[in-house]
Amino acid sequence: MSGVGESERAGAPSPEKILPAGVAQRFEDGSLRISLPVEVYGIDAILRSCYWLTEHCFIYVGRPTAATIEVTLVSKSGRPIDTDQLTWDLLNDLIDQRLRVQIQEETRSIREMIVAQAFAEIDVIDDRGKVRDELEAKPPSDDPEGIRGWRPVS
Amino acid sequence: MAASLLSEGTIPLHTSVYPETCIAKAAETYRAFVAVDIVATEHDTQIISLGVLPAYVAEASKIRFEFLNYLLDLAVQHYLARQ
Repeated sequence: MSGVGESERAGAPSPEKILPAGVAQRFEDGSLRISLPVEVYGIDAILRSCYWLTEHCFIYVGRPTAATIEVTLVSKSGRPIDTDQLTWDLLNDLIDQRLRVQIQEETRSIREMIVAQAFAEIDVIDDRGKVRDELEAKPPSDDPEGIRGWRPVS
Repeated sequence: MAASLLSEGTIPLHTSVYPETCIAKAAETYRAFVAVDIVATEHDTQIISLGVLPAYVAEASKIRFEFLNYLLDLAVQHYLARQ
């Protein structure tokens, strides 16, 4: 978690005064609601970020429209200044989690291949990182690098 | 300034955030503290009321928030299990 440790830092500005109008809304009990575009952050990243903050605050996640998620949070300490800091921590962590989700999606196939290799009884990946089934399925004429016919010089 | 997150007495839970199975499981876990009633079901949303049992009225707000945190925990587990 990137930002929770910073929540003890005092003097964080009130998000509703800094963020664009309508993004943050303060309640009388000190809780703060921020509106997040699903298209930018994604629901997975939002839930992960919220989860990491549940140690420090109470969180409710609403979805007023398909394109928007509203996160309402209030610090467990009850101090509005802590809620302010946790909100900034949440916004920072959202970027971190969004990136993690994106990398996870981009590397899904290679992770699955590595796990498959780890549990396989035979090598499913050759020394050049190619899946053996794919290589063996190709006829020799489809071997542009001539690797099948290659033999070490003796 | 709006009063409070929980001042209206009912809470809309969107099923894309809080799956129905998680709501049911959280209600079962917290049944010693709150009575969870589904007062309405709209498109993809369950509107619930959280009636804190008499013995815990003094901590009603805290218990409701704890319930929501627990529900979020279940929801995250649900999504991670699907991946």
